[in-house]
Amino acid sequence: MAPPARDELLQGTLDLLVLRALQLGPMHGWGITERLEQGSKNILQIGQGSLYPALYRLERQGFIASEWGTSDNNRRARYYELTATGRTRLAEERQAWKRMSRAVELILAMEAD
Amino acid sequence: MRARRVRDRLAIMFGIRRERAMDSRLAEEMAFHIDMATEQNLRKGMSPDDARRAAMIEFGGRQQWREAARDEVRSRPLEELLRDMRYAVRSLRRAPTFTVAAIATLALSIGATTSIFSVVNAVLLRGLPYPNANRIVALCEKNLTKPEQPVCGVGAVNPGNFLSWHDRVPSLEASAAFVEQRVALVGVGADPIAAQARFATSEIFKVLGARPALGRFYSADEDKPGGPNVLVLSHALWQQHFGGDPGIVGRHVRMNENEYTVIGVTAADFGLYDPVDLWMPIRFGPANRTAPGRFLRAVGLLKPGASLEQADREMKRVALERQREQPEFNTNMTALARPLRQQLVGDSQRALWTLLAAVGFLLLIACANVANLLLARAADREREVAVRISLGASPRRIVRQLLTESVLLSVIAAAVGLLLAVKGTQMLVALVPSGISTAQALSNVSVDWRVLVFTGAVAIGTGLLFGVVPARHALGADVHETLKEGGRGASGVSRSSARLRSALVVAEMSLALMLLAGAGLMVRSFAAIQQVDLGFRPQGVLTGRLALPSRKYESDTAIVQFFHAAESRIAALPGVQAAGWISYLPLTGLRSVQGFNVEGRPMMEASAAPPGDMRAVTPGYFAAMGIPIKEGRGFTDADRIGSPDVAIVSQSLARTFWPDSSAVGHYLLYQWDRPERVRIVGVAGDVHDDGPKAEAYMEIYRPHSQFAYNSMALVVRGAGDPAAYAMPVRNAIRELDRDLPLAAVEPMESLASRAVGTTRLSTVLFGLFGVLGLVLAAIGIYGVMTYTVQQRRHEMGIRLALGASPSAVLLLVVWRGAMLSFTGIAIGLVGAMLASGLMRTLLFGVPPRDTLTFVSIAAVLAGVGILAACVPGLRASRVDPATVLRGE
Repeated sequence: MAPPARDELLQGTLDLLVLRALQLGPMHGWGITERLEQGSKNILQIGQGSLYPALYRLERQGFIASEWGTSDNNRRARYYELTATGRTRLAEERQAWKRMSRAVELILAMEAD
Repeated sequence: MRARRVRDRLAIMFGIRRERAMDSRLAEEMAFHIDMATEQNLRKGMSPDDARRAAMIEFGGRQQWREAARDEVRSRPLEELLRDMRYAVRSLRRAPTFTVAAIATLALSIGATTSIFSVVNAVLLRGLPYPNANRIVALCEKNLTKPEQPVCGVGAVNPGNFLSWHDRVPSLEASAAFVEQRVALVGVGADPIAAQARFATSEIFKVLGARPALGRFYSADEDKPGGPNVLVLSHALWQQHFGGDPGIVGRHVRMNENEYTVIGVTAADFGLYDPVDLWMPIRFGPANRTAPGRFLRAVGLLKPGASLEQADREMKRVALERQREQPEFNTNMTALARPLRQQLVGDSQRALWTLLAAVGFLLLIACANVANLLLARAADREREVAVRISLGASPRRIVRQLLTESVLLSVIAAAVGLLLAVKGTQMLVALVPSGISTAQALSNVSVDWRVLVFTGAVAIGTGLLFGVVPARHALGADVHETLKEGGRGASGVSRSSARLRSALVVAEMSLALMLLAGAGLMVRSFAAIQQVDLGFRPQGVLTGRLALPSRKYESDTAIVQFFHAAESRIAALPGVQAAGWISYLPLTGLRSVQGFNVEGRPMMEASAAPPGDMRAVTPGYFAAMGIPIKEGRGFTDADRIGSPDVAIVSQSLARTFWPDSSAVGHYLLYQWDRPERVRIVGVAGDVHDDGPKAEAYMEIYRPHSQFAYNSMALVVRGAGDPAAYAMPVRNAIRELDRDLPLAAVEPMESLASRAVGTTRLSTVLFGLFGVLGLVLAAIGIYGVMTYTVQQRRHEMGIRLALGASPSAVLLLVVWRGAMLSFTGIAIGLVGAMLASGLMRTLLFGVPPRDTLTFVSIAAVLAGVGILAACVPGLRASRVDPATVLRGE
């Protein structure tokens, strides 16, 4: 199993976030970090120690694909993009997450009898 | 671009330059990332050095994430498998009871399956031990008017006919005929050696593709009348009596009063049919082309490219020519070629496949049982699986994990089973048809690569079979439901799992019924076989065989005198009640058949006439063997050469020709070396010469004094253990002639028990599989009902609280268990009805759809099913309503 993420993100959640970030278009690892941090208004700090393993894992599972491309500053960089199965996976994960968080919220909203 | 991506992926998948490719990709991505972070830091106003350092620090332990990232790629597939295995081992060790139960169940059934398969492998699958095995055919004759006679029995080929096949069948590259005879080797050691010699035409070695271990084989020139006295030793005899002497070739031995030169030794694994000690030229001459009599067996080697059908057609054409050439003994006779393997394997093929099917059923029941155990475990693991899925494990990963666990179980079980099989196989050697020689059988029935592959396939197959249902099932679980429920109560999954488990139990019950029905039929057949009166009493009888060398005992008088003297001496030994001699012992498969006519009825050609089984006996034989004389008299010393020619016939012969009157006083006519006319003086009880399953032959006994054979079997009846008479009998014979060895000394009872040995063994095996299947099915029912009761404790509690009596609750549970059993039994009965016809040839004295067997087996299964449900039922009836309702 993958080593535990140093931040507080559950592993499954990071996968979901990466897939979501790539839904916006192909991007390299650095760019993904930026997208996630900006998207979360800097609440989430993505540690590279878990980002790259997650990218490699998702690629192996066939949810994303990668190829060499040229970055904005004209450097060679590895670009990741969603595959068709990745898109489906994202939809499923999104559903699952919604239910999970609703459940958590319900519990947190519980009041003593 | 695309090609490159494909190549990258291939590199990742197959590990071709994977490490290097990955490392450079990682390094480059890492460098890019750090540069980007540095730039960002620079923009924030840091000094270049600080910016870079900060980026590096932020990036974290380089080596660490690099390892982590690499792991994600590198681990497939072997490491992932290892990881799954480690996980599986841990999870199996957490549930030792389950693990031991599952492994024991599987190991037993895989062991049994492997044992049976190794016999099937040896007898049916592995090639015969000859270089051109699939071109070797058995050549036989068949009487068209007697289709019921066994095809290609021992000694059923006429020499003249064989020689015609040899000369006139174009698709045969080579062919050979042979016959066995007991001989005495003298002067090798202190005692004479009784040896079994096979007299064979010279091409036998070519047909079988044999190479001598030493020296050479004899040529066609040596296999002619007046040829030199040469012989070839079997490897076993050479080892046993000549100490494996490497200078044996050229040595002289004395056999049947003649000097012979040893010219060669066969290879250790060389043989055909029953083992023999010597191979010698048969030396057919011109007279053999026209002489009557059938006493040979024959084999041929097809030319490369020639088909069996072609050879068979040519054989039949030559047989027609022979009918015209020698009508006096070839009328109605045809000839055929059949594969040697078919000839060797014969009827045992059906028995072996049936046993393999039976043991396969047992394996299926075991699989169903373990699947059931796994399902019960899956219920406990629903939470574990749900947690893992929510943590991001993919469904495929979970299924693979669960399957790894089940395959690991079955592989461990297979390893244990293989050990059991190595032991078990030794006991199964008796299943090998006697036509395949014992030495070959022992070396053949062993665990070889085919057996290993089979067991491996069975292990993985069963692992997947019993694992896939529970694994797929685990995935069906609604993760969120399960997590929310906290694993309590009957979720949708556990309800559908209960249905699945019930279905598995029904399947188990029906398989067990089919298995037991088969076992029941076999047991009933065996009981019927045991009931058959063989027509003689084998208890307390010792047998042996003695051949007089024809040089020393030339005249019939000398032969008759010797056996007469021996009979008197042996009968006078202390403890001996009776002693006698016979040309061919019952149950040895040996006989000499001759067509005969009844005087006063229409005469028929010898080959078309009813076959009589001609046996020469001395006066003491009937008493020694315990065969009753039903009518007339037995033979006495007064029946001599010169006195009227007499015969005793068996009851079946007497009944066939004189159903309403006595056979005594009538005359039989037949051709032996001259025309014979013999008067029936007595009728003896029928004897099942070929074992209890075979019909009694029509026997014609002649007094040895009028029908001298120089090779006879001894029958001694005495008080106590028959083996104890071996020494005194040998001594008595040695007093008459110290060069004569008594061979094949064996109690008649062991001959009798060997005659039913294969049937007994298959019955025992079938019964064993049936009982094991029954036990497994009972455990299955018990397990499912226990589980159901656990799941429905709440409901039971409420029922009890609302006033249901404990016995009503008990009944509820038992009824449900019984319904499962009954459904399984009903399905099993239909299956058994359909399948039992396949066993027809294995059965004796019982129809394949025997009502008694089926009904009693169904009743036993129903009873066991109900009993197995009673235990959980009682537990349910003792549920304390108060505890249950309090919610715990």
